[in-house]
Amino acid sequence: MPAKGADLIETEAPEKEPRHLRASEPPGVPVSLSGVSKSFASRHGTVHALENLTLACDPGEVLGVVGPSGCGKTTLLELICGLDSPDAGAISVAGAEADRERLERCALMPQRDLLMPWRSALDNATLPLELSGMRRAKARERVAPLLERLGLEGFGSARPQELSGGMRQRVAFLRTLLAGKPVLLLDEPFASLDTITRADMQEWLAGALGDQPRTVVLVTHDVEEALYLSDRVVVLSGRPGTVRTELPGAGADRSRPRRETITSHGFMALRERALEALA
Amino acid sequence: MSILLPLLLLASLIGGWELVARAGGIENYLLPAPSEVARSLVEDRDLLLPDAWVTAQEVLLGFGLAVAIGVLLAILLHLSPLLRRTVYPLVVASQAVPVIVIAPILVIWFGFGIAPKLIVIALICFFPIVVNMLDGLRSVDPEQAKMLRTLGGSRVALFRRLELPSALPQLFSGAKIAAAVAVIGAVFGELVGSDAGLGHAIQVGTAQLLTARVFAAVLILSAMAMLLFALVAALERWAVPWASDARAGR
Repeated sequence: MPAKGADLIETEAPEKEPRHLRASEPPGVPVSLSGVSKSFASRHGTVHALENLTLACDPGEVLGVVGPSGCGKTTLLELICGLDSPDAGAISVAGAEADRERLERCALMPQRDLLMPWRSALDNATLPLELSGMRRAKARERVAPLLERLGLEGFGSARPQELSGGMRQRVAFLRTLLAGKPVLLLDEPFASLDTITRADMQEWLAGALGDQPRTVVLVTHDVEEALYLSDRVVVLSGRPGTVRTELPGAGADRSRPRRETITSHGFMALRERALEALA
Repeated sequence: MSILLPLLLLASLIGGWELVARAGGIENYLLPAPSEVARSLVEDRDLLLPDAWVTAQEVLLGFGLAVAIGVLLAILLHLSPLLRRTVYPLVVASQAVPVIVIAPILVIWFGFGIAPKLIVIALICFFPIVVNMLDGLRSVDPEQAKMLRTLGGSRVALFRRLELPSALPQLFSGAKIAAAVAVIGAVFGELVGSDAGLGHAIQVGTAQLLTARVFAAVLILSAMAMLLFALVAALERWAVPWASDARAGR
């Protein structure tokens, strides 16, 4: 069982942080979308991924987004982090609206771990530090202890193929954290894991988020995962995605054991409501 | 096991050849027995070895030249869409021009020295390298490229941290093809005009009906091609260990 992600988040800002955003700022910044629409041209005509979507996420809040597959969840995250621009509406991250500025403020953890097969586990995690100009030797020195705290002791020099799915996902998560951005966008972070590893990882992430809050948008199709990890959950409709309903999450209970939380009456009732909204 | 079967096949082929050649009915200068080829290999070694050395130098230099040009060209074509649109078709067209036509002209221009051979080898070899490397550079996982951008990666970082390493396995695939044909290029260059090298030895041997020596020279050439191929393959295992892991299904 990996140690809780506790003090991982504080350690990432390199001394010579070239970006103007530093982790020493208050954890988390507000994220808001107003009237955002996005459609794509495909072979079968225009696909409306999102339509008139309005969302707001407070600083340090974990916002869960659930919806049926194909409701534009991944599109939503790519829009927020500035990899793509909306057709209509405005997106603001910490007050910045330009694609480039949003990209500087958001770290995206994609569905697949996307570890580079030619880099060791350790060097995959150090990638963002190297990208910000830190020498590899120094970055390794700094990241190695973090890797140990993630339960990857002795696996630093292992190549990604040699790691289990859960381990790979933890390396990917550490890499995302080390980018040192105030907003974390998690896209189905545990979708590729088996049920047990997944429960472990959820509990671990809950610990990491509880100890060091920052603004997180968590996209998932797993209602339970969203309710358990988030402060607030938004249920999207099918394509084109719009907000169908909004529910409180169990984020306040992050310090409690996962099983206790998800078997409580309150949680079950929320789950029922979320599933109803999805149906 | 993997080496046993081809060896067995080879041994039986050579054995059959020996039997046919010895049974008579076929003139010696038409089909020398393998044993005679082996004897020529030993007895003519003072003749063949210097020639082999000349050819080996041509092959190594020509191959190296092809890799350098191929990699550089692939990178340029990858980074500049304009260049890709204008130059790539010409690169393809260059392969349609028969080397048979070019080689004699090269001899006229550059004489009997090593230069025309290097050009012929490089001309044959750079193509599979450019095509494979370019495909490798262009087939980067788009998700991975996005991820790099969100981590703060610039265009330079994208190239250095993602595209180049992603393209390495492909580069080696191209280099292996090139290694196998590099020897052909050398012989070709020598046949057209030279005073040394195995191609030259083959030419002289053929004219004198020293067929066993010609076969011996061909044998050395084959060994050279296999050696170069094995060298590139070994380099690949060292430089791109993750690719062979993936193939082994780890």
